[in-house]
Amino acid sequence: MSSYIGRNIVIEGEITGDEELTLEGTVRGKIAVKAALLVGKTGSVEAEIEAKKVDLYGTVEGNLTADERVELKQGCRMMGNITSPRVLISDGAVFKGKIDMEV
Amino acid sequence: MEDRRTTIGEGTIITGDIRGEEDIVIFGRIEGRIDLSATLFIEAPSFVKGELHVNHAVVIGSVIGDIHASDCIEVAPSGRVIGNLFTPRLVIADGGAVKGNITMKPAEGKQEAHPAERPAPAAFKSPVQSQKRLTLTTAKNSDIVSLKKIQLHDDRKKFGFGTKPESIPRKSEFKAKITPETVQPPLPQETSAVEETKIEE
Repeated sequence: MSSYIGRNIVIEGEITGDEELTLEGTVRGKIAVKAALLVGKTGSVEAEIEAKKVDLYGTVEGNLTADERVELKQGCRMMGNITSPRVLISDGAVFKGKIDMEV
Repeated sequence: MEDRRTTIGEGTIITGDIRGEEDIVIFGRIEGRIDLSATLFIEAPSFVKGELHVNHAVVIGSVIGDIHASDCIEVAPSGRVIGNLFTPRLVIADGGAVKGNITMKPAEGKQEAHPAERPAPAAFKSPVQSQKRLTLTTAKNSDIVSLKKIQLHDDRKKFGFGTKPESIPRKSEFKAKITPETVQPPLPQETSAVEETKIEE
């Protein structure tokens, strides 16, 4: 089972879970998932993120901690620090922050 | 991307407020307020704690908190609600459980009567009608007594005995009570059924 948050949904609070989460809406607060997190193009996150694996197509303002890898795709905006053993930044991604790969 | 419905999976817990304009299906756990101008499906393993303001709520799981719906609330056989319901339309299936107050008012802006309601007769005057009905049902015994007296009166007349007009209620007065000018069809049957059983005594 996976979770999907549509583009017209705004969540203000904490999301925790152990299954895949796809975000196309807006989240403000904190996200802690023990599985893959996908932030879609219309997704906007103003939160601290902890996930296993992150694919970012949308906007994130906040620090990002991943256990496996972080991928910043073309067109995304990442404003915050990334802590992850593997980071992939595609051409066209916008990133402002620190990267720490020593986990 | 495929067109998917917003789903909160079984292992997901959201602590906080959710606002939106599209349908949400919840399998997980939500603690907080939900403001949705669409349909909210609370599925079987789900547990929602907080105030819900939605258009349409379908409760198949558990809810602790008030539900305000502008359209309809449906409680399925496995649905459990501890909280007040505010909705113009409500369906509670056999097996569903609700603990709380239920307030059903027509949605604001809609003045039409619900299809299940009986259409009001032309001479309907609400407080007067209900009063009349009340008089009839609560005064059944006195009506029966009056009927007996009138029958007695008729018998006496038949056998030529004198009668005391004052003690016997006027037939016209009694007739006025059950003449169905504004009273609806079932009521005369009701009184006649009671008449028969009482007179047998």
